[in-house]
Amino acid sequence: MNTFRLKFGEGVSFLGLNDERFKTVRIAIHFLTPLENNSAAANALVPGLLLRASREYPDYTELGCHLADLYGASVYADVDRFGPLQVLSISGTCLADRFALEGEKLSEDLASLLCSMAFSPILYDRTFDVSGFEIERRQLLEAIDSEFGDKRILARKAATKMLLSPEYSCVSRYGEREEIERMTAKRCTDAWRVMTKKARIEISVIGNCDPKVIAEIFRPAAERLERQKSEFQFITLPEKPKPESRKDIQDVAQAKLVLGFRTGTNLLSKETDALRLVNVMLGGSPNSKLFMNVREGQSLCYYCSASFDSASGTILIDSGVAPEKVKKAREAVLREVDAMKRGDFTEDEVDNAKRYLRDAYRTVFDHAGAIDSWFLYRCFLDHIPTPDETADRIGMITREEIISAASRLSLSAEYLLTGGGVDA
Amino acid sequence: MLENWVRHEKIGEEYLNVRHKSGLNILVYPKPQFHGVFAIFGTKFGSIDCAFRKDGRILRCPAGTAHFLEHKLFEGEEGSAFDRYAKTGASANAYTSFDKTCYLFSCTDHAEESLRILLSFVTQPFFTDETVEKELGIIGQEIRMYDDDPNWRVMFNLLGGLYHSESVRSDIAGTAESISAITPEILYEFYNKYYNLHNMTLCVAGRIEPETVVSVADEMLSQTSEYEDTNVYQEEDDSVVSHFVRQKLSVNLPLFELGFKEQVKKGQRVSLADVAATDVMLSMLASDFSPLYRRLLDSGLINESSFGSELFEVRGYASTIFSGESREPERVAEEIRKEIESLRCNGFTEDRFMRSRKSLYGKNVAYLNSAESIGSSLSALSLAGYGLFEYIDAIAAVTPMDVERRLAETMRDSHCVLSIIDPVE
Repeated sequence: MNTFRLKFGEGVSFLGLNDERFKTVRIAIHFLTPLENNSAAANALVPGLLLRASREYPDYTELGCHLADLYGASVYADVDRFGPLQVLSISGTCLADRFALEGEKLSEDLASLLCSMAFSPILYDRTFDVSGFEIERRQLLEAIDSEFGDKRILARKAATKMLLSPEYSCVSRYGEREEIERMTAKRCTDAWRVMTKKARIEISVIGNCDPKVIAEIFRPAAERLERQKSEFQFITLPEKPKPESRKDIQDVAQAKLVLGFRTGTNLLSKETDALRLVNVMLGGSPNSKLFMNVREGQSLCYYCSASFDSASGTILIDSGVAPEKVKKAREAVLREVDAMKRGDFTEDEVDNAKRYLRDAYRTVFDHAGAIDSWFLYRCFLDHIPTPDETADRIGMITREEIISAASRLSLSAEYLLTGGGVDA
Repeated sequence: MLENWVRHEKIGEEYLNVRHKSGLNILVYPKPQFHGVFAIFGTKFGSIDCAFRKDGRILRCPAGTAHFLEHKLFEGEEGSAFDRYAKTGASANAYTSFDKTCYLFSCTDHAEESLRILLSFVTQPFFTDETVEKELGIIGQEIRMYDDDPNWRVMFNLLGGLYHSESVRSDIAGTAESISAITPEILYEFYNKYYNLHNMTLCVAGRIEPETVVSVADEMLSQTSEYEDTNVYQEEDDSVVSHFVRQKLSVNLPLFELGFKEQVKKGQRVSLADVAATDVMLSMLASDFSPLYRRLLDSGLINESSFGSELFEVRGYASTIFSGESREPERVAEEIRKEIESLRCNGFTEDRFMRSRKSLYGKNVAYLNSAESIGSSLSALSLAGYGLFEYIDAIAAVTPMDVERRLAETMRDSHCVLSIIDPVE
């Protein structure tokens, strides 16, 4: 693996990976900061505001034309949640220089553009353009509204809120709606300034280029940042005395049942790999207990799967089920969780899950986006293992470790979205 | 067995095209430096294929049969294909669309064995009354899930407004009622017709040798009789059914799809050159660097995460579609129609054309970045009768006159339908 890392300053890192297998170059700047009620909304608007225009291309359409001229380069703004953190990202992808028909330096052009956007955005009277801000605010509100129409996402969000509170902020990764409605361009500009000062900043370039050249494009701007040392805490969520429960009624044909489990671990815990394996065995593959027994065996639902969040040490099991079968599906899911805790699984199930995970890890380095995510979400570890190292570690996990990890699952949140007709 | 290497000099890559002795078309795109392998085995049988001629009769199937078959093939006489894949570590899936059904896997180790599993379970059907009955519950749930999906519903409502033919209007999964009429006999009849290797393609990309793929095909596949296309396509009137379709669902923000119907000969496809010209045309008209996009965005009528355009194109049917979320979908539709007319009447600059063509060319080359995207593109294009690099070259070959011709021939107000999903009050 041909990676190198540089430190540009306190909490500002650069990751470069030259990989000629790819036809593209992917460049990203990630800001990681605590997800808090008083800053989430302003922060969530920043990536979109940064990408609207730049000093070199102050008009939105002019910028779009320039990207099109770079053989269809694209830029993206993302807002994500990672345990207690809000992750604000701007990224871009372009064709590798070798495909440019007239020798254009596509990756350097894109890098300069993103660097300028991230660290020296175009401001008017030291503030983001107000008309651009109005558009971004409207779009963020519409993004929240749009999630309402995706019932699976809606149900998972509701369950996650219950699962992580009160220890983690309940605020969504976009912030609260009322806060977004009250937001101003000035407050967003202030939020950007705070991010450049205090957020952990991870810059990455992955693909068919010379990352050292790209590093030197970012270095001056990154080293000029006035930085403050920040500490990031990954707390361990304790067991809840009683699971929190909520039911919502909407006009839907299929009910969404989400069960949330705490495990008393976090990103830095030694049980994390065993919990990944537990997650796959329980509901992370087509050979998992939930797929085989709840879906295939009892035809109770179309999907029934588990997902593990290592940052918060939580597992969500979500399913789409007929309203009249919710009680049966819930009992079936909890039976499978108990089976894992009791060690009621075969060596075959263990081997299958290990093979599935090993395979998944080994393909990480076939995708630039997956490589970026791999390093980003492990940037707090002292040593970032490679996917192969992680695959090998998973392969050595014992039956006892699996049972020990599974026994940590504690039902902490239950959310049901249904249209009615529930057999309560 | 006929084989030839297809190379693209500018991209600097190549793939092997094999007409296997069994009748199957095999395409192998070696990427020896990748860790993984992606394989996709597809047949030209989708939700629009619901009748064919046999022995002087017309055999018809209920809506959702192709999708039902896709589910059932995973369950063989000796057990589930997923159980077999578990031994190789492969991640497997399948999908059914309007005009094809595809079975796929990706893996890093044991690619050869995973390929054997793929070829074996897709070519060895096993359907019984019990297994069919069991699947009704699962697919019933899938149908309900899509009933709640506003993006799915806005599209199928649009198709319902554009087309008279039941085959294209019907949901790919069918309805709870239609799938209850599916029997093992129907599944076998349609399986035997459409899952003929001459009607299918196997595409493999990644860290695998072509010889390995061909050798597994030699081992697993028998020669099949020639395939005769006896599809009975429904007549499709040139007119639309209704210019306006509206439904309320549990959403907070209205969604819309604006479609313009094209006349396509029964069972035929829009030519690749016209597909490419349409894509360049749509880029000029509605991409994020177009004047229309800017006006709609600045007016608060669209948002960047949802607005887009595409050519919906399958055997016998084609429509240009604009879609997105908007609090005023009718206004968006009006602005789009005005812009089309303006472009048609006033023309466009060379710059605007070149920019769109260059951007599309670059995006399509960039797309060939992973075994999954290469394999998927190979499969989609070969099932439509084209080579992988042909589409990229077709984009590069589009001329301003081609775009003018598509502007003149398509997107007519008389053939326009607006589908809207509104919030429930």
